[in-house]
Formats: sequence, structure tokens, C-alpha cells
Amino acid sequence: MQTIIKLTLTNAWRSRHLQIFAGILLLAFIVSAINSVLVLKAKEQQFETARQEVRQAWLNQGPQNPHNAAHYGHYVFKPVYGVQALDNGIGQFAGAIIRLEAHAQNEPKFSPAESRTDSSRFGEISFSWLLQVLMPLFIILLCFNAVSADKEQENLKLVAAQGISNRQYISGKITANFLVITALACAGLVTQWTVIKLMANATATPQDVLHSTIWFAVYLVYFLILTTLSVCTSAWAGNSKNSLLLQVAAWVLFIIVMPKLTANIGTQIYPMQQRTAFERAFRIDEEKGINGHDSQSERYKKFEDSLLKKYKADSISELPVNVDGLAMDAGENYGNRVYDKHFAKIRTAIKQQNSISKYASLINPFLAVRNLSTGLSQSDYQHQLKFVADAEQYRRYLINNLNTKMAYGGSKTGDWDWQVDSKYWETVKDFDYSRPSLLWSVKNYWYEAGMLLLWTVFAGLLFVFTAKKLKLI
Amino acid sequence: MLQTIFLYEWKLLFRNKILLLALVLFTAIAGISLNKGVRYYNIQQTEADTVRSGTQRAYLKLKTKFDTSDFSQPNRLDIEGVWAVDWSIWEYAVKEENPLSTITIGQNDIYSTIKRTRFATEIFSGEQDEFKNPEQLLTGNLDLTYFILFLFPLLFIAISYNTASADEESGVYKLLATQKFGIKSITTARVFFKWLISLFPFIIIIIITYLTINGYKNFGTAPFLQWISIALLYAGFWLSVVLFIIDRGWNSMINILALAGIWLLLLIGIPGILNSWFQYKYPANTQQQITRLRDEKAKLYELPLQEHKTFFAAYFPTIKIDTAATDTTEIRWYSSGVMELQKEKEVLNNIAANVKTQTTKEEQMFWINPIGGVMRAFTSTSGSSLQQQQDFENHLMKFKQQRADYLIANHASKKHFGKEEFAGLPLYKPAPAQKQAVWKYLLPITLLTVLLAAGTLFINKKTSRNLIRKN
Repeated sequence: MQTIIKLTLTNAWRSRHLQIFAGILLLAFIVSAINSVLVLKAKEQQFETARQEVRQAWLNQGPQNPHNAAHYGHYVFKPVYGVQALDNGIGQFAGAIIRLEAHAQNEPKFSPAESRTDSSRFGEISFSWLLQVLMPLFIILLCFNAVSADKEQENLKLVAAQGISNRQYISGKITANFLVITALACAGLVTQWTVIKLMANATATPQDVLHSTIWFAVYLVYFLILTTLSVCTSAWAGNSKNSLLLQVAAWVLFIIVMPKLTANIGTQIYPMQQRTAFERAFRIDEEKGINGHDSQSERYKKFEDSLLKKYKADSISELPVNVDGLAMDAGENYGNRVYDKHFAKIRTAIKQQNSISKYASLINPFLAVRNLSTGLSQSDYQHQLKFVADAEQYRRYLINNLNTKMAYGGSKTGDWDWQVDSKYWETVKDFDYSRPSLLWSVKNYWYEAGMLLLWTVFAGLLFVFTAKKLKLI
Repeated sequence: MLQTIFLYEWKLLFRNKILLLALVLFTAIAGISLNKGVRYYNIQQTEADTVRSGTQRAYLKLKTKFDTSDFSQPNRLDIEGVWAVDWSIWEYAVKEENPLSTITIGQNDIYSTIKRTRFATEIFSGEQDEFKNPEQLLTGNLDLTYFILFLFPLLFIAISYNTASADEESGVYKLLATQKFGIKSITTARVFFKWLISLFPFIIIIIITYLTINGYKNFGTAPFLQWISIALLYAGFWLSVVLFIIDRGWNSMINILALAGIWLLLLIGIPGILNSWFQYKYPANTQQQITRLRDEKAKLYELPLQEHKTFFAAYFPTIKIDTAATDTTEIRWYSSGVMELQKEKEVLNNIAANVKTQTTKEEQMFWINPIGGVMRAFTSTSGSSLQQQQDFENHLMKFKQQRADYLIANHASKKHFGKEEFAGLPLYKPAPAQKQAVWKYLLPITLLTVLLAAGTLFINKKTSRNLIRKN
């Protein structure tokens, strides 16, 4: 087996077209590393500047009515992490900024893609893209004639004469090619991390290193599967030309066509509610509850009555609290339930749409790796949802704080000119997004991890079957 | 000659089960892509119709209110106030539908095509934005443009890469050389036939597309033909690429590697690298500008009253009002309302200027990214380019200003904003469609096609001689 490995490595080393392709890949690794890190760094700076500006604006708003401040609102920004230099995932297409304000739950807005041209739809060169899309092509180039060339040149007789078994021969081919691929991928990873370390100072944390290690391990498994499949296909194909055609066709089908097809099927089967339908359904439910700004409504009157009863008072003016503040808080609580109900439908639809690609990873390992990759680099939809959920929790805290201040801070009902002093703003804590752990990032992708394992088993079985059944000589 | 070769290839086609299967498969994919576009268009159309009818209902409701109100009472602010009218009219601006977006969805799934015309609602608020699935956006749409850009060349390459080399490898070259037409002509004719066959799924689907969308609102035969011309020019480019490679006289393996490499380079490599570069060079600074806008706007109201009065007098020079006698709060509101709009316009213009620089640079880059130029030509023809989105937003911004001016001027100068004033209230009208000069985006691909064709003519002679000698 060692002889086969050595021979295969020597051939790969001497192959002109492989040298060129490997050179292109290495160059692409460097370009993608520099570009990803520059973009990440710029994003990080923008994020930090904007976060500080917004916090300062909050602290410096001076004496103000709390409800005015609630309408003035607050902005929260989705933080960026070093590991996202490896895979930016949905970063280009997901909003990273949410406006928090009274009475409304806003969606994340201003995705970078909104100010980009149609050229952005061609994708970007990232390390993950190179590993997901280009590396399989390199594997095909490396392995498409791994066995068939020996067959065509009648080298197999020499192999057999040396007492090398089928199993040793094929496993030698797989091992040698996998070593070449791993070396190239490692060079890519080292390039990425060197550039991150040199250019992005504080961006890389120990958690980033942990994430990227597991992330890279997933890719190595992916490459092992592809190498085994490619070598076995080469063994079964009649000749090198057929092997190449078959593998390139599979590359096009699995990597270029299928992801779009599954995404299309997802939207067809699980259509998302349109904005007008959402608004209509939302308004119907919202009107059934209390509106903190409509003191003439029946529910508002009932709410006032309940307060009078609670405080054993005869009139609103006798109450020790500001009814406006409490009514608005009650309105918020009700509104939150309505929002939760309707947004849940939208998010379920999105998850269902994405589930088609997830389940299709049973027949396409690329989809399993793509999903795992974005999950581990914390640039997937699940992380977006967590950011949205955390931001919403903060909004509830913020608005509740302001309404409580209005209700119990010493103002009178109907006195909308009442103001809190400027020191109050400091007592409201800033939004602090807690970064999800590695386990949290992985837990949404057990299915994909299972599918990758299944593919590994399948590749192993194919190897055993090929070694046993195929008559090489 | 052409007839003989076509007849021969036709027979071969019917004998090749795999090729027939591939054609059926590609036609099915093209069909799916059209279906996707039509579904997407219909959803957008339904949404646009819903908001249009909502706009009409809201207008009639408000008109009835004005028709039946008695304005003898002073200050009916709940009906006639500037912000009350602006709010209650509940009008939406809808970007004009372009039926060609069924075949080029372009950026329509990213930009918001419906926006409220209320002048106090920021154009960036996105309150009418559709819900988006970011994973879906990342994957992109499988529309007919994707089919022609990415999949057609693959099909064509797969069936034509060995047109001449297979003959050489099977030893029939000498036989072909004895034909009076010459090998070059035979090979060209055969590749041309295969090109037509590769276009078969596209031709079928484009006919179905015409039958489906010709009754759609705003459908025009000229833009549709323009779209087809772009597609055919692009297909012609691939014909010249394949002919050029085949005429090099390499073996089948090198041919397939070279053609797949060119496909990869032109459709994935170069656009991907440039896109990544542009992302860095022209980062989306929209977010910061918009968050700052909130703070800048908030400060405007707090400006000294005298500043508001001076601004008001300069902005509305024809309106003579006694600013000393008028309610100071009103002057402050009027003035800050206009100032806020101006700030918003400023941010919009800044974003537009940034985009203009970016698109100009991108257009220059079409010389090394010709497929980007083809994509831009497709999106511009189908009304889904960034430029067209900006035209829509700029038009809306102008309208918001016009409405604010009308409302404020009438409120400030008249005792009542009554029935007559309401009747004269400007209503949103979509901007007339701008003629898109798409051919400038296609110059690089056209030049490349011509160069390759010329190269083929020259090299082909040499190769043919070589091959014949070799055989």
C-alpha cells in the first residue's frame, strides 16, 4: 500500500494540470483570506462605531418624556465574529440592524445586498466557497483517472505482480489523494488564520479557534467522502473520459443545480405569507386588545376600572400611578403576544422552506456540509433568529422600563409633558448580545451531521464493494 | 452540405438516448425556472393589486370625510391637519411591474417595490417590505436567466466538446478530409447543429413564456425581443468559444477540461472575485447613515424658533403669513417637517452617489467580467436592476417633497384645508419608464465573440492542415 501511496503522490506532484489547478486554488485561498478579513474588519469597525453612537445618543437625550424616548427608540446591531471570515453564510442577505421602539416589533433591516447590484448574485469568493465548490472539482481532477488510467496503461498487471491486493491498491489511491487534498486544504486554513491574526487583531477569540477547528474537521470528512467516491467511480467507469464526464456531471448536478432546485421546491411547497395578509391578520388580532393610546376604547375603560378597584380610588386623579404608563405597558404585553403569534408563522414557513435542502442532504452531501458550515461559523438563519429573539427580549425590557417609569415615576395621568432627568438613561442597561456556544451552534444540525456520517459509511461500503467485486486485472 | 450534415446529426441525435434524456431534463429544468418566475411575478402582482385597491379605498374614505365635514369650526386637525391628511390618505407607491421579471427575477426579491408615500414615513423604513428568507436569497433564484447563463453552456459543452476530436480518435478524419466541403466547414456545421439542439429547451420555454406573459400588464414585444436578442448573443458567444477550442485540435479530454475551465472562470471565478472585491471597496454604509438620520432629525425640531421662521420664509417665499401671530408650534412643525425631508433626501442622494460610483466601476469591469455585463443587460431589460430601483425611490422622494410642500403651503396660507384643497392634493403616479441603453453592457461580450470567431477562422485552417497531415 505504501508503494501505491508513494507512486500516486509522485504522479500528482508531477502532473502539470494539477500543479496549475493547485496553484490557482492556493492563490484563491490568499485572495479570499485577505478579502474576507478586510470585509470582516470593516464590518466590525462599523458595528462598534454605530453601537457606540447609538448608545451615546441614548444617554445624551437629556430630560425627556419616557414615552417619547420609547418612540425615539434604539438600534441594536448584530455582532460579527472571526469565524465568519471562513464562511459568511447569509451575512450578505440578512439584515444586521433592528430598530427597537414602542408598539412595534421590527424585522432586521438593511442587509448589505440591498445596496448591491445584480453582480452580487454571482456569489463571493470565501474560504468556505472554495472548499465547498472548487475543492470537489479539484478532487475530480485529481482522482477521475486514479484507477482508469492504470487500467488504460495496463499498469494493473504490474501492481498485481507485486502481490498488492485490490483493497490495498484502492485504499492506497484513496489515502494518497486524500493526503494531497488535506495538505492543500490545510494550507488554505493556515493562510486564513495567518491573515486573520495579522490583520484583524482582536477578531479571533478562543471560541473562534474552537469553531473553526470543528468546522475544518467537517470539511475533511466531506473531502474523504468525495475522494472515495471519485476513486471508486474511476474504478467502475469504462475509461478515464467516461469517468471525468460522469463526475463533472455529478458536480454540476449536486453543487450547481440541486441547491437551487431544493430551494425552489421549498418556496413552492411552503409559500410565505405576504406582507398585506400579515398586516391584515395582525390588525384583526391587535384590535381585540388594549391600545395604550386610545383612552376612549372599551378595554381601556375596563382597565381603568380595574385600577380604580385595585387602589380603592374613585377617580383617575386619585390614583397614585399614571394610568397612561400602565395602559401602555398592558398594550405592549398584549401586542407582544400578537406579534409572537404572527411572526411565529413567518419563521416556521422559513424553516420549512429551508428544511427541503436539509432533507435533501440525504442524497447530496454538499447540502449537509453547506448547512453545517454556516451553523458552525455562526452565520446561518438559526443565529439570525437568536439575534432577533435577543433583540426582542431587550426591547421588552427597555419599553417596560420606560412605561414603568412613566407609571410609577411620579407623573400624573394625562401629563405627557412630564420628563425624567438625564441621569435616568444611564440606569437603562445597554443591549448585550450573548454569543451562542459551540454546542448551541451544532444542535440545530444533528440531522446534517448524521447524513454526513451516513455518507461516510456509504463511501466505506462502496470502497469495500469495489475492492471485492471489481476485477481490476 | 448543411442539409447532409444536419440530416446526419439528426439521425445521430435520435439514436443517442442519453442526449435525448438530457434534452428532456433540461427542458424540464427550464420549465421549472419559468414556473418559478411566473409564480414570483404573480405573488408580486397580487400584492401590488392589494395595496392599490387599499390605496383607492383609503382615498375614497378620506374624500367622503372631506365631502361631509363642516369646516365652519376652527381647527379640525383630526381631519384637515397636515399629518392627519398625510396619515389617512394611506397611499402606496408601487414600482411598475415588468412582465419580463418572470424570466429575470434579478434583484426584485431583494429590493422593496412597494413603499408608503406618506412624507413623514422614512423611505428607508421598509414597513411594507416583504418577508425574506435569507437562505433562499443566498442560494438565488432558478429563473430562465439562470438557465440561459449557467446551464445552457453546460449542455452545449457536454454535447459538442468532442465534435472533431472523437472523429480523430476513432480514425474517421481521413474519410472526412476526402469530402469536398473541407473539415473546417463540416466541423463548424456540426457544432452549429449541436448549438441549435442545445437551444431547443430554451426555444420551447421562450415560446411558452411568450404565450404566458403576452397578456400581462405593461408587456411589450420590443423589450421581449430585446431580452431574446441578449440571450442569443450570449448563446452565440458560447458557440464561438466551443468552435475556438475544438479547432485547436486537442483531444477530447483536454477539450472538456478547457471548456469546463472557461465556464468556471467566466461564470464563477471572475464574477466571484470581483464581487468580493466590490464588497470591500464599496461597503454598504447605508446602515450608519440611516441610524444617524434618526438623531439628526430629532435635533431639527429643537432648533431655535427664529431659525425655523427664517427657514420657512425662505422655503415658501410666496406665502406671506404673520409668523409672529401664527402659533409658534405650527411654524416649528412645518419647518422641521420640510427640514427632515431634506435630510432624508440628502441621505438618499449620498447612497445613490455611492451606488453610482460602484456601478460605474462595475461597468468598466465588464471588460474582464463580460458575463456581468450580460447579467446587467438582462436585469435592465426586465426592470430589476439597482439603477431602476433607485429611479423608483428618487421619484417617490420627489413626490413626498411635492406632497409635503402642498400640504404645508395650503395649511399655512389658508384658514382651512378644505374640500377644494383636498381635491388638488397631488396623488402618486408611477414614473414613466426610462429607456435602458443595455447595449453598452454587451460590448465586451460582443467583442469577445467576434475575436474568438476571427481566431477560429485563422487557427482552424492551420489545425485542419495539421490534422490531415497527422492522419
